[in-house]
Amino acid sequence: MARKEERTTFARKQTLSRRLSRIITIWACIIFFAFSIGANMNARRMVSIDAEHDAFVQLDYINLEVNSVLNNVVTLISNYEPLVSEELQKTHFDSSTIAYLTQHIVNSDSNIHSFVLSLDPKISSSQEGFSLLASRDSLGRTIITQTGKNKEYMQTNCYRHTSKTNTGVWSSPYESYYTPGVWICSYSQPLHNKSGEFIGMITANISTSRLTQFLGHVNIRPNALTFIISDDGELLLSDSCHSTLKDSFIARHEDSSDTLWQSIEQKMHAGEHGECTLMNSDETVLYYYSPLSQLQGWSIGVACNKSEILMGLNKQTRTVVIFDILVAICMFLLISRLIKRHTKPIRELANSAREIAQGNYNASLPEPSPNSELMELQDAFDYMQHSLDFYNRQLKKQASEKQRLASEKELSRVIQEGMIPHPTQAIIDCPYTDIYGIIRPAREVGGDLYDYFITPTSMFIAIGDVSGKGIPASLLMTEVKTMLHTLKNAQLGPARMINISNHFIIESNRADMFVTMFLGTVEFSTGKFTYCNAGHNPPILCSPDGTTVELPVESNMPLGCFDDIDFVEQEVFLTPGQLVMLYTDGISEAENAFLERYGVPRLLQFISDSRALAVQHIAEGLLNHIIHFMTGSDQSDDISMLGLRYHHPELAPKPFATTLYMSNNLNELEKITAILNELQTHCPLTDELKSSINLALEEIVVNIINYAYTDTKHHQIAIYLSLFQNKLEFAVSDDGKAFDPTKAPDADIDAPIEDRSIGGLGIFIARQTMDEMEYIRVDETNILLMRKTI
Amino acid sequence: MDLSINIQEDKIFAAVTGRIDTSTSPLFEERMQPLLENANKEIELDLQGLTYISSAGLRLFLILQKKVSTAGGKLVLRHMANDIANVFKMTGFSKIFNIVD
Repeated sequence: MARKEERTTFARKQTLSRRLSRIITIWACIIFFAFSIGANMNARRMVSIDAEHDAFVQLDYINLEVNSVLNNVVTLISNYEPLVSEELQKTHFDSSTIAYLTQHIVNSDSNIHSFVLSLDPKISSSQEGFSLLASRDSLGRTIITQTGKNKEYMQTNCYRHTSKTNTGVWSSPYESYYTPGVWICSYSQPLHNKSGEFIGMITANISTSRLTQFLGHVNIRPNALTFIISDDGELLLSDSCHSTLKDSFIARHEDSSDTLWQSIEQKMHAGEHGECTLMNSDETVLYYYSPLSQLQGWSIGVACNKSEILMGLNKQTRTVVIFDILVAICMFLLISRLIKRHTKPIRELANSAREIAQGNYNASLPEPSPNSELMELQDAFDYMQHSLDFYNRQLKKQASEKQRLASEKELSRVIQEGMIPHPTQAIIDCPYTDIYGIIRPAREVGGDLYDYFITPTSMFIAIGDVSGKGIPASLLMTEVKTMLHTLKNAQLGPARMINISNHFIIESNRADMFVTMFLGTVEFSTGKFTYCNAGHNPPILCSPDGTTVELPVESNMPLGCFDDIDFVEQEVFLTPGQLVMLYTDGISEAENAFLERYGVPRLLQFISDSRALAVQHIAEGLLNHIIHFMTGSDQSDDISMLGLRYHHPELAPKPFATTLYMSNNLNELEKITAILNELQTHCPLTDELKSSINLALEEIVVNIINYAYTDTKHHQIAIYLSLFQNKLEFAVSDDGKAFDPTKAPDADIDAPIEDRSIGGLGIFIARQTMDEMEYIRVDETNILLMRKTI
Repeated sequence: MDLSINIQEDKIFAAVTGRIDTSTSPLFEERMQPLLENANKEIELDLQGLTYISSAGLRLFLILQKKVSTAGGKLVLRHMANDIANVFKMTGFSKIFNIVD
């Protein structure tokens, strides 16, 4: 038990330091992680802004590069146009001059893929017009081809559109007419004569790859995709583009049902500048776009996976999380260690407390700690330890004192008990007398006493009650008892004994205590009962016919009050069989829980009812009856009684009394035979009669053993056997359930055999054998009285 | 208590000795089974050695007599001692049983 408690305390202590460390760590972690999450979110925002910034910087760069290419072309054409116009306005222009100029232009800008000069037929010498084509061979050299046929060319949208304008125009991308497979973009400028008439057109073609070459130069992320969308919605990508986005991007571009992409394209086409996020099943793509300033309706854009933008950040986040966890573990260990170190004095105090609890009041306390709170606790502990030690010593002292007192009291009780003659001794002293006495002190020792003294011709009896109870009363009682013992040998009359006693007590009594006493002598031959009362309650006189009265007595004064009192002596003649019961007021004044007194009427009734019993059984029954009456309240006064039944010595047979105790076991039945054999030695009992008595007793006891008990426990059955004169009396008592055998139905002895029942004969046999049978139930005990005259 | 039984062709001779009380009656009940089995025959039970009988014993005698009466046999009790006879008389059993000297 103690070990278990120890373990529990230990576990609780462990939990305290662990719990503290845990709580602190958890809260620290929560705060730490909250900061981390906040920082992470902020970083994401910053990364997004950075990516956007990067994207537009890149787009601006591409814009500039593309512009420079286009501006070069436009500048060249602008410079070329007045020269060609001038030459053409000559009446006979020199085609070689024009070819030279053309070659010069084409050579001066490597971006120019090809060049076309086309003259309206009306100014050319040929009906079919004049056209000049400059292109590059595989080595990049310029080849000039002059042809007169340009009718088809003049039918193209470009030509017709240009003929109506005055300025140069960039076309949408298209596949080259002269070098199939190459996509080009043309800058066309009309030629006018001096009078402002349209005379032809010059066109410089540049390959779209010259524009897209910049797309791959700078990229915000390795897998980002940069693209150009022309005014007619054509998608231009860099030849060297290896973006993983490429396929899905092209698919999206070609999918006319993708409304989100369509809206982006519209915005781009409208020359807007912005950012947009598109999601598909497994990725989120960010788009940044910006218009190409030189080309109306053209736009450049960059697409990038969002995950790629945040990749670095995610990597960093993972590192931070791992770092956080490591920090949390370190923090927990550190805090545990710190708490353990700081709670060490408390643990030591707890250990000391346990030691003190086990009875070691001198257990050493830990060294004082500089911590002020712990110091206070330690002081309190120190104080508690000393107080406990002090109280424990006190307690031990009191306990040993109590024990000493108890053992002294017990010793006193034994001594006092020894002063009272043992009741059964009387029977041995005087075989003709039926006398029995009981004293039951309220405490270990009491102030009640009884005494008797038997001579061959008479018997002296006395009962007394010292005022008060306990040790003081018992001391005076001892003195009175000693005095009686001295006086009874002097053969004085009762009144004389009372008077001497009174003087004696007055002389020795310093504590103003008094003694009530009744004493008397019975003369065996005549039944003369001479008695004297000193303030004691009158004894009960019970005749065999049941008449029960209080013996008429002069009350007189108790002993020890006044010296000059003359105590009156009285006398009655007892008839054989009459019972005199002396008692103290502990009986008549016994109170139950309702403060109701046992009272004299109840006493008279009980004695009258049980008069047929031997005096011992009357006395024991009366005591039980009173104890039962007092159930629920304590005995407040000493209870004493002394009963005497007068028998004429010549008429009285040799009395015999014995008690047989047996357990509820059929094997014990043999004891009945044994006790009857013993009885046979005391009185003339025929074998036949002995046998029938044996049968009756056995039937009663078998009935009790078989039917009285509802449990299987051990019970005691007592048979009180007494022989007076020629009357045998048996009292069978048991603590079984109430059963009155006298009320059991008789067996029908005249019934024919078929109607005779198998059982129920035992009690009938007993009833038939015995002369009288009486049943009383006292205190959960069945008492069956049976008498047989022999 | 002891019960000896001698089964003849048409008659059974039995003799009981000792006490039949509460403690010995179970033994008697066990020993008297052959008598119950032959209840249709004439049974002569010698009680000369029976010194004591209690109601437990009487009960078994009653059982035997009932069985014999039902089965159409005959039960004769012989040499009953005085105190046993008193018990039989007291309980009215003397009217039920065929008791001969």
